[in-house]
Amino acid sequence: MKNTLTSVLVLAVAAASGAADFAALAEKAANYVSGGDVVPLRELERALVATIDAPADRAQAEAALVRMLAADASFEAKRFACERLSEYGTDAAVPALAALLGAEETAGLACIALGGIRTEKAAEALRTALAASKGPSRVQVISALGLRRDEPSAAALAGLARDADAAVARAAVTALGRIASPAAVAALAALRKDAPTGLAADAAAASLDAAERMADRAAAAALCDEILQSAKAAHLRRGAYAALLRADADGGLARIRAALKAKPRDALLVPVAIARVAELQDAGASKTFGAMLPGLLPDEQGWMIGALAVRGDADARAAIRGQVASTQAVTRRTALAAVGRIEDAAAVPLLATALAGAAAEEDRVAVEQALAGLRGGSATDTAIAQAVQKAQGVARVALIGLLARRGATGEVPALLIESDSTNAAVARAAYQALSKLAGAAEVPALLQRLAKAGDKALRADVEAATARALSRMPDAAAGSKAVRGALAANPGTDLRCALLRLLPVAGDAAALEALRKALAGDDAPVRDAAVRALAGWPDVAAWDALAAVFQKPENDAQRALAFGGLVRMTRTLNAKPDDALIARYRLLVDGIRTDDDRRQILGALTGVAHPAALEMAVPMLDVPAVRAEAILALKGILPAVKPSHPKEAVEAWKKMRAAEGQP
Amino acid sequence: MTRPRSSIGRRSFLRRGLALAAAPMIVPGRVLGLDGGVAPSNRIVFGGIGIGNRARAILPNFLWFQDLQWAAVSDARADRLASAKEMVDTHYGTKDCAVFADFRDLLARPDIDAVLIATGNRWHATASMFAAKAGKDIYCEKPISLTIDEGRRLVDTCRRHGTIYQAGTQRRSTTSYQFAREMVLQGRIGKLHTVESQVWMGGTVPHSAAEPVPEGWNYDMWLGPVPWRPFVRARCDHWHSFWDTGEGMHTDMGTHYTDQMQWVLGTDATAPVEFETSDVVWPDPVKCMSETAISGTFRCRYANGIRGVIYQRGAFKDRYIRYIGDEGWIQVDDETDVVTAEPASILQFKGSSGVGWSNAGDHIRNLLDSIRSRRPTLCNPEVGHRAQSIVEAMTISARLNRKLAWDPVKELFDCDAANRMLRREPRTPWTV
Repeated sequence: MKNTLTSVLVLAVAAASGAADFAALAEKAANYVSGGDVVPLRELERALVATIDAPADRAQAEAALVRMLAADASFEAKRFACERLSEYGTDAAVPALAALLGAEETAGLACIALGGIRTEKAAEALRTALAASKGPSRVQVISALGLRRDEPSAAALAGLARDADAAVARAAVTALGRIASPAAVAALAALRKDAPTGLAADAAAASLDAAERMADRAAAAALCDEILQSAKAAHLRRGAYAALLRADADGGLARIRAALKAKPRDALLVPVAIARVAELQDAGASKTFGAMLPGLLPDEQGWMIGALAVRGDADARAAIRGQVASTQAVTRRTALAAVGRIEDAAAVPLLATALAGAAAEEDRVAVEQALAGLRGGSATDTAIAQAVQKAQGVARVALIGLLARRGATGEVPALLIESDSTNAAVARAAYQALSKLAGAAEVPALLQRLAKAGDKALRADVEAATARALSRMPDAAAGSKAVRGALAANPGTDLRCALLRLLPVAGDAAALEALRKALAGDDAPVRDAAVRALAGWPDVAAWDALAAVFQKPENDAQRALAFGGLVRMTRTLNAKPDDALIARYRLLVDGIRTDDDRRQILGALTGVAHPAALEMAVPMLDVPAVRAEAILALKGILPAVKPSHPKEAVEAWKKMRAAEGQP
Repeated sequence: MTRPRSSIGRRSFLRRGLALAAAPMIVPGRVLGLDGGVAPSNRIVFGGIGIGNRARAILPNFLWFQDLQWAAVSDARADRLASAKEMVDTHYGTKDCAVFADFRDLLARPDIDAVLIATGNRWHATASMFAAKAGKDIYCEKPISLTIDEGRRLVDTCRRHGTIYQAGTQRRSTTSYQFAREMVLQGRIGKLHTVESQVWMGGTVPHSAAEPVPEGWNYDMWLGPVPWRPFVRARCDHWHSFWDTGEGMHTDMGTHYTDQMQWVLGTDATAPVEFETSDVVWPDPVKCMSETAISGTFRCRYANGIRGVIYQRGAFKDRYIRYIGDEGWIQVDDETDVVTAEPASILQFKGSSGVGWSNAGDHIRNLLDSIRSRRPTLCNPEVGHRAQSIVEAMTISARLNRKLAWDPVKELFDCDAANRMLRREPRTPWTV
């Protein structure tokens, strides 16, 4: 605390004088250990940042950091200072850092700082330390020289690459790879020949590193070729091969062709070769390698299709299309996936043919996936719709489904035509698609078709499509009017019931009135349909009509429907737990007949933040069949009620806990 | 067992003009006949490096695949190895999962083809480079590096060794994010001008003294390339909050969003040209030893004028990414995976199924396919590095409290002090 106050005072004085008192901050920071005062460290950091715009202060700042390297400074203070010197240090700090290189404990810290000071003086300090250091310190210094690609140290590192200390030797090999000077490359070449196995492999890896940086590109290629021929490690051969491909004047084209024609194939390199096809700049590459497709092994064909798909030019697309009918399943399906990814409407006839001929489920799925993914927007949708007209049977049904999957709202007129098909499967598929795509404009046409639909299953599909289209009408009154207009044409019972079921979708007052009238009609099935429709009404406007049914149902089905609908409507009002809501719940509770009724009410009561909800739920704890639901409901009600009615809540809680212990 | 459901067969939301030009093709595993039994000789053998909370959360996604065999786990903390081994052994009904205290011994196993790296952030790039040099392919959790230089070295190392690498920014393989991207590319929000995202507020860590290293911790290995410092349990448990082991949530989570931004903008091979931060709230050094930001606004600007902004504020559950155009916007809520949009009619194109971000199945499938084909993954090293370099540049801008210009080709700032923060000297022997 005292140190903190002192630091604050120091800063106040410094602020007054316009510059940080680096010396004072450094003195405080020099004692830092974990758990201690970090304020001086943070202030030093801020002051250092300020020197970016005030370079005149930089020397002072650096001097302060150097003072933190003194022998009596804490280790953590030195660490902090070295981190900051890596960001702000100059040659002025090098002598103090050089001194730290000599000690095991601080060599690493010094390398952190020197790593950021990219000057010859810093490099020279590291070179000097190279000879004097040992063990882990030496490894750190070697790493530092390698990371700064210090050419003058190559000769020394070449010697250390044969050091008895394995860690030193490995570090030196890695550093030589980074340096990549002619001397370094020569040293690595020698090591590849005569070093022990492990180190020879390291030398090969380092040589790959060097090859990327060598100024002599011809020599670099020769080096990669040597590694390719001699290295045992698969990844080194792959790496060397990939480097040669990149280095080739033709981008690797000839080398790839050779690899694919070789007998036997080099299984390690072929995938690398094929992967490179995607990146070739040669305009004829797609044609060249597309032509090779049939002669490749199945796995290779899949990879080549992937590479050609990336190229995506006309020759690539043609080659991929040619594989859509491949006798090899994997090739065929890979080609289909690629077509779906890169092609557009032009590929529809090909895919439609493939769909018609697809024998295996996996092929059918692959074709459909491809069709679903084709580019080209509405033009592709139209091409698919045209393909529908030419297709038969299962294929026709699938293509219709694809229009829905693609969201092809522009093809709704075509789907309406398909919905008139005498083939039941086609008609049903069309209606299922219309269910997803049809909108307000299609409602009259769908209502007409609903009137004509004879088959029960088909009528259900038409009704579903009509309902969905109705739901998309922005003007609910217009939808209601259309449905009521159809009702006014005095249709038969089945159609009348279907139309009544559509009225809740429109959901306006006129539709509700039509349902009320239907309740009073002569036809029992129509009255049942009206009750069902009222039970699904979207808001509480239907409450009175439905409550009347609930209180005087014609049959058990009507009662159950009304009860369920009333519970659902009441639940939608839970957010406003007023007396009106409670009155509705009491009506329902008073009408309970079965345990299922109790469960429905308890499910709805769970969200009610009103003490009356407790009064209604607690007695149901005494009904074994619904005790679990009552407990669950109370767990939802109690937290909401407790703040305003703690006494009632506690009482209810006690009863709930007692009930929890019962079987 | 978590069964990753592939989204490939359920792209019912796809509609028009899908701009999928340069991305690698995902071939569903079932196309390759991989849903059924796969001969052991044809399975890709995996090991795990760093087997803490994240690794154990994602491990079931890996184990589900028939053409993958998990063989070993390694961790610097002995207390984590037993539970990870049990998870693997239970899955296979064997006791064969090997455990290693030193990941280098795991990498030395010739039968292991690939590794999952889910260590703390300080280790991600270094462990990946060790793995690449050992000839292993890699799935590495994000962030892929802690400095821009480290990220570039990772890219170079993977290229040099022909390594197949997938960064764990799995939202590219996630349905809701794919949908949002496609809607932007189809122009349904007009011309995109801003990508806005939010990550949660950072925590703080009170002062805590050094203490003995707990039994079973290999602290030297735990630290890895980070300069040595005395063991402080709170520093290890909250490593996100210190610059040398993590860089705070705007980088750790922000990289998911910069990756999405890069993907949508088609700028995977480049980066923004300007970075700026504001309103950054740092921990109070009187009370806390933690270093990374608590909150702030982190901005970038691309050469074409498009802006990115990451807000670090709010709670964990409030994170999102929103693409804003001149005719609307579309947002993915990361907590719920729910997509919202203006105009709302955009949402009619979205299907009802697909995988969420917590299921990395498709992302892993992409890696497995790339291991076989040797073609780049969706989140290959260059992609991962470019996304990560954005949040790291934001960090540098925040720490220096200045606007910075960035050259995406040279990968240099217009400020020498900033350039000196591009790299940190790694501690040996944890250097590659």
